[in-house]
Amino acid sequence: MHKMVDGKRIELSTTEAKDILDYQAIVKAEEDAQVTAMRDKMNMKMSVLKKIQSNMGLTDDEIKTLF
Amino acid sequence: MATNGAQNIPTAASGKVLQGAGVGSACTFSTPTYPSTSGSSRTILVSDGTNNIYSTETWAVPGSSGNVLTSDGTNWTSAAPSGGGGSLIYIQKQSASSSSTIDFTSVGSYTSWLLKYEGMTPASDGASLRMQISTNGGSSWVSSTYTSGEDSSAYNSATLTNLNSSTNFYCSPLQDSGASTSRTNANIWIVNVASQGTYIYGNGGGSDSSGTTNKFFFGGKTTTSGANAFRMIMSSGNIASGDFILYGIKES
Repeated sequence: MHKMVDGKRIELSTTEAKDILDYQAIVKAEEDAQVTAMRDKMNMKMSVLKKIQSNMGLTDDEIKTLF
Repeated sequence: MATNGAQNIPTAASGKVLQGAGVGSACTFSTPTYPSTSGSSRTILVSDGTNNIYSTETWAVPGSSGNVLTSDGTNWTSAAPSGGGGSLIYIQKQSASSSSTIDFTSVGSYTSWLLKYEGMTPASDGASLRMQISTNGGSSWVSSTYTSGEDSSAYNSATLTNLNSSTNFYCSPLQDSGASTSRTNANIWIVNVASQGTYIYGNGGGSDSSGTTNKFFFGGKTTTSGANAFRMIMSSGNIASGDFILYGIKES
């Protein structure tokens, strides 16, 4: 692993590489949690839309006009 | 025939001047006419498309070093440049090649910067580009106190996807790796506000591995003041490729 510092390529020490990976693990966990929450919310919205579509007899094109 | 005899000098219309036509050749008169008397002070000879005449406007002497010619609506004067003094000052460009981070530690003594990136691709699918600041020239990097986010949408879509972070600044949406179509570009404006913190804001556009374009904007703040170094890092994996160019903003 290496980093670029002001145009110079510098190989990472074992400690520095571990620090970056540990930090990225925290960042990615935060990101993944949001993506999962966002997908859950989207799935919920789709479920509600399907019910509305079914109850009102709407076509897919009619549903698409909402977006 | 060439001759020195005054009686043989040809004649021409008023205002024309006699010109050499080459050694051994007879002199001839110019096609355009010239004024026969001097013009007003500081006017110059200009062509009117047919003849040469004195300009209506006057031209100033150069004046002080660094002055520029400026129109006062009637004449050309010599004056110090005014306005337009601010500019972008190029600092450095770095290129990623499967790099863990791209660090800018020599950033000049500005209070605001423009960091643009072009053709950025992550090494891992579903990773986003982030930025951390440092207040000690890159000896350590701030990993908290941020409130940042990004909103993005695909081409011809009004549906925004929103992501937020407290551990760094968002600078791109989630990106695809690998394919030649997967490239992201953006401008990041960075502003140090005394006693307030460091702010960034920006926008960009790119395309994913299937060639679908997207557009996005982002912004945020860290309460940590006095940023003097910047680190670009993916949320996971390396930065596979991309150019990162930093400019300082000279405000006047």
